Order: sequence, then structure tokens, then C-alpha cells
Amino acid sequence: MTLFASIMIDGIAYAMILFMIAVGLSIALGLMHVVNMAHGAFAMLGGFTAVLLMQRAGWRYEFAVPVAVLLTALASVPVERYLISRVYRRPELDQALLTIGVAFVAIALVNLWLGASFVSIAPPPWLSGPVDLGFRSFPRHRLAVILLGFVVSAALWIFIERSRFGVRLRAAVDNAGIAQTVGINTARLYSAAFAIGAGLAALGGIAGAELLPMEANYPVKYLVLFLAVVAVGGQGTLFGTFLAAILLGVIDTAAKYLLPDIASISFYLTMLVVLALRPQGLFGRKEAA
Amino acid sequence: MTERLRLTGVTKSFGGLSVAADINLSLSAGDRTALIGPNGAGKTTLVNLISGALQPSAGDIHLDGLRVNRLDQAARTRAGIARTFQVSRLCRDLTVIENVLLPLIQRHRAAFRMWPASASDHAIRAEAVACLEPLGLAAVAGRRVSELAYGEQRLVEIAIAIALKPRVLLLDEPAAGVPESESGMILDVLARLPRELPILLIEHDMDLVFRFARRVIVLVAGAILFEGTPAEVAANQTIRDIYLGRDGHGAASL
Amino acid sequence: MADLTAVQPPLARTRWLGPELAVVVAGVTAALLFPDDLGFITRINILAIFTLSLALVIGQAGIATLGQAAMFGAGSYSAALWAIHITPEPLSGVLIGALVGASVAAASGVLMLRTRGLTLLMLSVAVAQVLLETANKAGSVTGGDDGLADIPVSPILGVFAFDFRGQVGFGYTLAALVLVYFCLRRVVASPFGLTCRGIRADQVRMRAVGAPVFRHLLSVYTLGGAVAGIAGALSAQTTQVVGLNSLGFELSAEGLVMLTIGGVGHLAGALLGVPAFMIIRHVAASINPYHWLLVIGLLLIVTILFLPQGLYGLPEKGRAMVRRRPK
Repeated sequence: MTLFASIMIDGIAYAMILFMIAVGLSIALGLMHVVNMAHGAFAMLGGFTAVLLMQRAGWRYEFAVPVAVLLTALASVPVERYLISRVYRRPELDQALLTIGVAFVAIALVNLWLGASFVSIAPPPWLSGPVDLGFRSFPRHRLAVILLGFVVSAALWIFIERSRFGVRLRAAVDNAGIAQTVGINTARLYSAAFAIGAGLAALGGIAGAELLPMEANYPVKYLVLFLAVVAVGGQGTLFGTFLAAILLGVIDTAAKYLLPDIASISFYLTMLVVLALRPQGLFGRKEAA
Repeated sequence: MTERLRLTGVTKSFGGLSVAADINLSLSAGDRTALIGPNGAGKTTLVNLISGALQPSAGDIHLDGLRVNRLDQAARTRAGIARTFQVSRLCRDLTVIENVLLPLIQRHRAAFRMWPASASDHAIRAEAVACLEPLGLAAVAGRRVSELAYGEQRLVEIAIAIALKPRVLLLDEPAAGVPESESGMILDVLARLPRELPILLIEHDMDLVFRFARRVIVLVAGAILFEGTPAEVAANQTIRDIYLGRDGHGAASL
Repeated sequence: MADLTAVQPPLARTRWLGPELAVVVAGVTAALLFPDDLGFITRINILAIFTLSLALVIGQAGIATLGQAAMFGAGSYSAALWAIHITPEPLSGVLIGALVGASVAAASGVLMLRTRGLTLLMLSVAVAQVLLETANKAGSVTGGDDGLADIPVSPILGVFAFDFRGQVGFGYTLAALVLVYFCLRRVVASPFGLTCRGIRADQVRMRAVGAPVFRHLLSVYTLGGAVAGIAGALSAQTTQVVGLNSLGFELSAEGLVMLTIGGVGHLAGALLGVPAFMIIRHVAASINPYHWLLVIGLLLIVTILFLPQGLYGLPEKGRAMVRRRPK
């Protein structure tokens, strides 16, 4: 019982991190049909910005984190407008290569400026320490991550389903051409959606710094994880990304606990099985030929 | 009169949406049949069903007496059903002659030969040129498709279909998107297509329909409303009401 | 009769051996100019063969893959195990590498090649990662994390023994490169090659001309796997070492980057991109390892945005710019 609970708690915490970071990637793919291999760089940017604000500027965690998220979202706008948007209509390979280049540049800049070592983000006292759930105690931070993940998912869902922005977003995902003729400014929509995705990635990066440590190599090191979540869930679907994150997060954690020998394969095997049986992902739309 | 293509009771629905309802159609050697109908009537869907891009929910499709329901697109093409696309689907970065070589390579069963062979390659090439000449495309054989005028691109589409030496030809709005000045070219080419080849032509351009077709099928909401000669169609009040004598370039049908 | 001189028949193009000769001359010149760096040049030859396999699979057929290292590594490990357990004779080792590379490609291709886009990309990564983790766990056979070392290799054709200076290794890999290039040029010029290019352009169009698209993709992917396997085998034989990185994502990504810089659409792109990448990395990395990452990143961005044909397209771009200048 304790084992099961441990797996679930750790697995879902991991899943929430993956979700928060990968959701922006899924939106970019579903909305602008662009494969953004540099997406992890936003998570990294958020993490390092938070660290800089806390360590060099002496800010408190409670202020540093939201500001870091905001700054990352803002920084993503020129990147999207002047760089990434130029490959929207190009083949996937070109998009992947351009964004890999952007990721490389981001890694190099971070390293040249801040060094190659790992950087840790120390949570404040009210988020640290253990919480005793009776059968086992867990780090408070991990439970907070789970809570954060659910809150973010719910907020995102409400935003996309209920707000006017969300309506326009869904219209543009369905059919960009028609959305434009109805007067939706798709360029601004894309920038906004991109920025939201980048901000969420930053949040996920900061929150997940314990599981996915902050370092210059972050974007490339964990790229496959984020891509896997999107591919398995189906691009452009919020629910799909969420479910895929849970699936992959829990399976990976369970394997680490139960079958440590095949733990590293389990993630990729799961991805392989799902994609072989359902190429469009769990909730993706079957692409017309 | 040999029957080449027969559709019996062909039906297609997506969930609750019916896009083709109990279609019965026959094409024999030498037929010149036009398929007309308002936007969304299901004309392109029907072409997709015949060519194998879509599988029918019910009904049968027979080519030269053989039931082809089970065959996929590529297999049906090899069996003899050739189609063009409403919006040109050409390999834009390849040259005109390369585009025409593609179907010829398939027909000559050379597609898996991984080395160049002088005599065979030359023969296929010569045949490609022979396909392009009657369409007036020989002069642009070496040009990239992306460099051609749209009217010429539509002709390349037709050249590719003819190169397959098909048993049945389905033309999906060959004049669609072509400026007035170039549409005469298309009509010329249509007139010079092989006599015995049965052709099903989807068109919105009524002028083209009346000059080309000997039979006209009117499709509305996925079902055949009427079938007759062009004169009969023109005289039919119901059809006139549905169509209001439209002859412009229509928007994409289903 | 139409003017066909603008459309040079493929066979004539392949009878002209200029490109192959150019490779020989370039290789020999490099070896003569830098006799102490033969190991580095040998590595370039091997990676060029690997990148040629990508030029075939991606550039000709449009199969966007980030898992080509699976076949390189498979060729590497199989040639190493062949040398250790059966015979250190190198030519048979290369043949084994080719066969195993082809088999891995065929098996994974059946799984992957019905998909497209991101799904295909992720499946290719997953296959390579699963192979890597398997090799990691099968330590008794593969040496696990340490890999295999001291791989024996006997003289080529019984005559050319591998020397410490690397001359035989260099000549061996250069000969292999020229041979592979020669064969692939003919494949590209064949009806099969044109059909692959058609598939890259538009799969639906190809189905509409009766092409069995999946069978084509599987064939070209298997051939590419054989070539990658050859590169892997050569790597095992010349360095006498095989590690997990031969199956790694980094190698697949590097190959893609090298091909992009050289020019994706042409085989020669591999031959241009590999030396360019390797030399830049060598120079920049000696200053600071992250400097080269910056340079490569910028190079990628510039290439994709402004030079889609890579280095191969430079002369044409230059000519276009000259033409545009007012006289």
C-alpha cells in the first residue's frame, strides 16, 4: 500500500512537471503546426531567471518565481515573432532543425554567462520539509507540485473552454484559414499562445528543478521527454497531453521502484507501444492523407 | 460496348453524416460523362470512393468485371483507375518530365530498379516525351513544375493520368483555378484524349460540360438526382432551380 | 522532337566519375597535408558514410529520422562481436555490419514507416533508445556501460595491416567512402531514386500513380540502414573500441546537423557538411566547448532561414545574388 502510494505520489508529481512544460509544446504543434525543439529552453530560462533574481538580486522566492515566469513569457514573444514564425509553413524537418539551432544557442549563451554547473532552486521554508500522510512522509514541495499541476490544468482548461481567447484559439486550431476570414488575428493569437506555453514551461521548470535539475544542457537533455509526452498524448489536445504525462510519469516512476533494471527502457517502450498502436497519439486526430 | 466501370449501391457515411447515398453508375468504353452538382454535393467524394482514397460503407465497385473494393489507392491505380486532383498535386520541385516519368516507371515495373540502365531508361524517357508532346508541354519538359503557369500545371496533371494508360479516367475540375485565357488550352486537350477511354469529368464550368459531355449525371446531397443528355439536363426545371445556371469557378466541393 | 539536352539522362551523369575522383583527391590531399591527423580524417570518412545514409533516407525519401544511430551502433557492435568471437578479418566484418544494420532498419521500419511527422520522429528516437538501453543491460555481451575494447582486426586482404600512424585505416575508410558514394549516386539516378524523390514530394500523389509507397520507404530505409551499418563497422575496426554512444541520440542529431549544413537534397551535401562540421567543432571546441555549440546553433539557424540548400547551394546563391545586382 505504501509502495503504491509512493509510486502514485512521485509519479504524479513527475507527471505534473512534464505536463506543465510539455503543454506549451503541444499547443504550438496543434495551433501553429510547428515542432519546437527549443521549448525546453523556456523551462531553463525560467529556472535560471528565478535563481538569478533570488541569488544575485536577493529577491524572495514568492516574488522571484512569478516574475521569472512572466519574464520568460515576455522573452518568448520576439523569439516567436522573428525567428520561429519564419518556419511555420516549412516542412517539419526544417522546423526541427531551426529550433535545434535555437536550443544550441540558448545552451551556449547560458553556459557562457552562467557556467556549466548545476544550479539548484531552494524552495522557501513554507514549501520545505516533510509532510506526514500517516503511512509515509513526503517532501512538502512534491505535494505542492501536484497541487500546482492540478490547479494549472484546471485553470488552463477553463481558460481554453470558456474565455473568448480560448474560443479563438480553438477556432484557429480547427481551421486557421477560416479563423482568419472571420477576423481572428492569427499572428497575435500565435504569439499569445506561444507566450502562455513558454510561461507554463518556465513554471514547470522551476517547480520541477528537484526532479529535472537546472543546468545549461537542460533543453537537449530532456527534449525527448517533452516530445514524448506530446507525441503520445496527441498534439494540440490539452487532455491528451495531461493523460500522456500521467501515463509516462507514473510508468517511469513505477519502473524505477519495481523493476529498476528495465526502468530506463520503460519510458521509451511505452512510447513505442502507444505510437505503434495509435500513431496519432491517445487523443490526437487522425491526419487526413 | 464494353463496360469498364460499374458502381452498384455505393454508399458512404461518416458517423451520422451521409456523403454518398446508393450510387449506381456505369462507364463504358468511349463514354464522355460529366458529373455536376452544387458545392458539397459529394462529387469529389465520389471520385475518392472510385479511386480508393475512401472506402465505401456499402456497395460494390467493379472494374472490368473485377470487384475492387478491397484494393487500396495504389492498387486501384495499377488496375487502371486514374484520377486528377481538383487542386494540383504535383511534385513541385521536380521537373515536368520527371513528374511524368513517375507513373511510367510504375507502369514499366521499374520502380525498384536501383541502378540506371541505359536502354530501359531511354525507352521510358522517350515515352515520357511522347506523353508531353500532344499536350504542348514538350518545350517545358526540363522546367520545374513550380515555374509553370497554373494552366500548364493542370495539363501536367492530365499528362500524368494519361501516362498511366488507364482503363478509366476521372478528371476532377481540370479547369478549376485556371484563368480564362488558359482554359481554352484545357478544352483542346480534353477533346484530344483517347477515343475509347471512358472519362468521368467533374466540372462547374457549364460551357465545358456541354461541349465535352455526352451524358450528364447530377449529384445533389450525395445522391444521383438525374442522369441524361446535356440537352435534357438543360431543359430540366428542377435542376435549373438548384443550379440557377451557374457556370463560374466554384469553391471546393466535399 | 523535344529538346532533351536540358534534361540530362541519369546514366550519363553517373558515367562521369568526377565526383568520386574529387573525393579521392580531397581525401589524399588532406592526408598529405596533415599526416599527424590521420585519425581525425579517418573519423571524417566514417561519419561521411554515416551521413550519406541520412542523405539517402532523408534527402531522397523524406523520412525524417533522429534514430539513424541505431543502425550505426548495431553495425558497430555486430562487427566488434564478429571480430572478437568469429574472425578478426575486417571485410567480412563490414559485411556483417551492413547486414545487421539493414536488419535493424527493416524491423524498425515496419513499425515506423506507416507513420509520419512527429510520430515518426519519436518512434525513431524510441527505437534507438531501446537498443541503447538493451546494450547497456546486456553487459556480458556488449560490455554494458564500458563498451567493448581491444577489438582485434587482422590485415585487410591479408596484406594491409593496420598501423599506429593510421595510414591503412585512412586508406581503408576512404576506399569504402568512395565505393559507397559511387553506389549511392547510381541509386539516386535510378528509377528507384526518382520514385523516392516523388514520395518525398507528395505521398498522396505517388499513391495516385500506383506507387506502393510503404514498400518503397521500407526499401530505402533498409538500404540506408546497411550504409549506416557499414559506417559503424568501420568505426569499430579503425578505433578498435565500441561504446554506447554509437547508439546515442547525439550521434543521430549530429548526422542530421552535418547533412543540413552541407545541403539535405544532395548526396554531396554529406561530403561537404561533415568536414565543415568536424573542422569547426575541432577549432571552436579547443577554445571553449560551448563556443562550438553557439557556432553550430547559429549556423543551423542561418542555413535553414537563408541557405536551405546548405553549402551545396552556395555557388547557386552566389550566382543569383550576382545576377540581381544592377549592371
